[in-house]
Amino acid sequence: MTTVAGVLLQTVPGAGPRVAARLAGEPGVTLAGGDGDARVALVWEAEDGAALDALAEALLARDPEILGVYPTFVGNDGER
Amino acid sequence: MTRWSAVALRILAPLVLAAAPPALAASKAPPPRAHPDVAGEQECATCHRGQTPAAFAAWEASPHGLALVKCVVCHGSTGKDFRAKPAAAPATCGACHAAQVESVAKRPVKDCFACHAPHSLSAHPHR
Amino acid sequence: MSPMNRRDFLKASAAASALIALGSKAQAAPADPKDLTWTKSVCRYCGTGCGLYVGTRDGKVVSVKGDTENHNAGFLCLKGFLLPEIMSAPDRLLHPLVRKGDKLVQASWEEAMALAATRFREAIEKHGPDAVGFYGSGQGLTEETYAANKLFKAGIRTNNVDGNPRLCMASAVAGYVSTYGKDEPMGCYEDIDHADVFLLVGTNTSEAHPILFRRIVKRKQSGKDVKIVVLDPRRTATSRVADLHLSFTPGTDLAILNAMASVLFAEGLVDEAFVARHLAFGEGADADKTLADYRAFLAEYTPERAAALSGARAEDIVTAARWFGAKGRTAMSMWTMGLNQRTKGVWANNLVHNLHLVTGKIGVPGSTPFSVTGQPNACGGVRDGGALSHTLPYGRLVANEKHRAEMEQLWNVPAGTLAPKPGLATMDMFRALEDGKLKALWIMCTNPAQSLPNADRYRKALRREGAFVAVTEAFHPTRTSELADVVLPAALWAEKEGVYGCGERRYQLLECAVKPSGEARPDLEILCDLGRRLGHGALLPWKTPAEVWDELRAVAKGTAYDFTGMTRERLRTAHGLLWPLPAEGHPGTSRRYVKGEDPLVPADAPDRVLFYGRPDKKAVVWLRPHKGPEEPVDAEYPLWLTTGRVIEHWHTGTMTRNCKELRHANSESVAELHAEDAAAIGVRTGDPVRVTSRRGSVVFKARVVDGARKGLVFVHMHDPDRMCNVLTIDAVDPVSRQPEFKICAVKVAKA
Repeated sequence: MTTVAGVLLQTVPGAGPRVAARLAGEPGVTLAGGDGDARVALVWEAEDGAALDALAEALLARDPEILGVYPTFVGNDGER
Repeated sequence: MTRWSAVALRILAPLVLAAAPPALAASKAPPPRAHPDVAGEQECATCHRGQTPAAFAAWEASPHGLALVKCVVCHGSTGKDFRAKPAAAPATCGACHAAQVESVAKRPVKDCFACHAPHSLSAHPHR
Repeated sequence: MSPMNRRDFLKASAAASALIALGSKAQAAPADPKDLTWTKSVCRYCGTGCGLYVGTRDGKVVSVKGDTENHNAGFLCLKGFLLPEIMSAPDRLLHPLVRKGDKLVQASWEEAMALAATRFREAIEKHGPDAVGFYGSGQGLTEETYAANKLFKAGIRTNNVDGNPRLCMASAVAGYVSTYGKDEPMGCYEDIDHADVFLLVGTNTSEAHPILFRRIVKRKQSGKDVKIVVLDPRRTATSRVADLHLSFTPGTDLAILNAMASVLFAEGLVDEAFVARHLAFGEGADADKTLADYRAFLAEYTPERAAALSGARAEDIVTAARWFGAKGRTAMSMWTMGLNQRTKGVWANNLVHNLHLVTGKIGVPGSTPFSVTGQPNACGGVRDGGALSHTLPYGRLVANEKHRAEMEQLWNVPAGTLAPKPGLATMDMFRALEDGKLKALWIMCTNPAQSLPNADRYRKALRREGAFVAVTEAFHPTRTSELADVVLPAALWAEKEGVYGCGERRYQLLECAVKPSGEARPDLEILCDLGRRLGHGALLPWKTPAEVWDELRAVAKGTAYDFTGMTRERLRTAHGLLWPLPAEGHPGTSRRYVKGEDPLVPADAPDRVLFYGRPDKKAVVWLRPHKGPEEPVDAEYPLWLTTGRVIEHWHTGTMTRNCKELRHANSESVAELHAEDAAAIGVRTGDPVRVTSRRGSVVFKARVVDGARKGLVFVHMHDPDRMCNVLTIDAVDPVSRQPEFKICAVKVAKA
């Protein structure tokens, strides 16, 4: 895993904690915090940008409470 | 260049996010699924027997139906806390099924519904 | 930088950026259930008494989970599941209120308590101790109820101490006491796991005791040919699992129960040896009849006569009796308000006990007459604790000189302190408020202005000029607190520590999980404060509920309730304990009166059971004739009204209506009608109907339901805005003084 991203999830109001709990076991995903209501802050690690894409798509598809996935930071470890 | 790499070149400032998160190519935003306003109604069953007959019949015939673990337990009220797809997080199933929920946490399944069909709750080992 | 360090750096940056994006509402790592603190406790609602753990975070109750090591095996019904929401409900009462003119205004504790103490003291000084009274609750903790009982009976010296179990369990109490000499079931929930036949009479177990219903269903699914017989004018959710459902005209169940006994004799299903060894027979109040008298009495209760009287089918009555009496099969009866809330409630209870006594189906696993209790601490606090107007703690009676002397000794008060005459039972207490004899009333943890029958009459009494009413409550407004002169904020459930005793003689400790909200205080503290202000601080010297508990164990020692071995520490680690439990090593008692199980039965007793509750060591079969309800239907009021519960709500709804999931779920009380009755007045589901009794009138929406009985209307009790008790009758059973909530006459018309 060489790409690290900071991610903000926008959820249905009130769903933040639930969404976060569901992601707790997701490989490559670390919970960083949330506002307790509709936004969850995460750190994602994946092979590359395409893998992060795929993760974002997968989460959006399977969890109707996730409204949006917004990267706040992306860094490549070992590239550049 | 992937969308994510593109984003790496335009790190979004906190101010922008705090305002109105722009709809990036990397995100779809399905509309929040709110329950229709039915303030006058008494019981979920009143409408859902007819509106969602398969789900209702499956629930009614299930252990939850017999024990009257009614819709609100998993789906919330018809207000802001309505959940079309309930979280199988410990807070819900774990209130009565703590041991099972703990065992799920150790397995490579997302949640209870990976094996237990919603509403009927029967196990589908080879789904 | 090494790759690992760079990785960590990147992750830290990523996290920081995401957190910054949250803005000012950022919280560190969101909900991980592993960071909850779990505190062992018991559900706040019904008498099933499910064990649970309260999950808190940062001083707030956020979650519950069932206790897998308690009788409920980790299960909770939907009300228990939603308990966290009641704690921070918007109408939690956080500050004392005092009435000034027409309004209740916020006051300090000092002002409110000083006012209450002054008004009580004045009433006592001017008019004597019986000018004041205490109306308590089966939801109060045992320690709290005991404190009130002691303060009023031994301090103030009035026996005007009663409680809402008078409205729900009094007939069951009198039934047990008249039959066995002692109150409380002799069996336990575990009997459900061994029963071959269930007789469910006057109980909608599915909705009112869901976790017990679950256990019954499990038994039916796992046992061999388990039969469930349901007696109820309505086909409720409980009947979904019935093998036989008998509907009948309200109030005719006494004839059916007698007819069942008659069939048992006719078909040789009676245990003659058991009858000869263990039973006495009685009529009225005297146990001076014989078996021959009983058989002669039963001769007129043929199935055919009972069928003609009740509308049930004779063949169903016979089948029910045959299943119940089948040799070699165990039988368990369970009942609640359908039998208790009747002017002949005590008689109805006696008749169920009779079936078990003549067949000997008692005292073996799966065979027991089990009265199911409604409130979480009616048994432990009010019944066992003796906080009724005619009782003293742990089986003692006010009218018994020896019992009074015992309590005076235990309470360290001069001989003659306790008044020898029983005080006012609930309905009499509120009637005394009405006619001015009662000047001041303390109401703890209950909502009589919604839950009393013929409610409008007693709502007026509560506001009578010159009456002073103090109410301790966790919520405001309730239909009672809105009428009070002083309202004191009471700590709620997880905010205080104490013991609940549920329906199977199981005492369990509720540990305190969070601090009281606002200025709320536990009722024990409030009562100790009141006691001090009235000059009786020496009687209520305790600093903690645990200190009260040690006194309680001493008071129960040597009685049929003896729970000396239930130290506080043992309760802390156990998941409930069943009394009698007389010594510290003792495991508790699953089945009373049974040799080898009940420590109060001598090891050398000659038979497998000993009914030690009565001096003659026998149980009494009472000859109880059929007698109908106080207010049958007639030409002017042609429909029966019955009242009851739905699973979503509890009692007067003050707690459950604060749960958002339940607020819209069945919270509005509707008039459930049979299709033909609805058609006759031209209404369909959703149309408004006016239901009128001789006492009042209420408009409900109509709902046509399957399972309704023709000629019978049902409304539930949980709606403060459509109170069924405006309609109900306040006639009472002459012995138990329990009102007939279940039957009165109404007319229904399109509104």
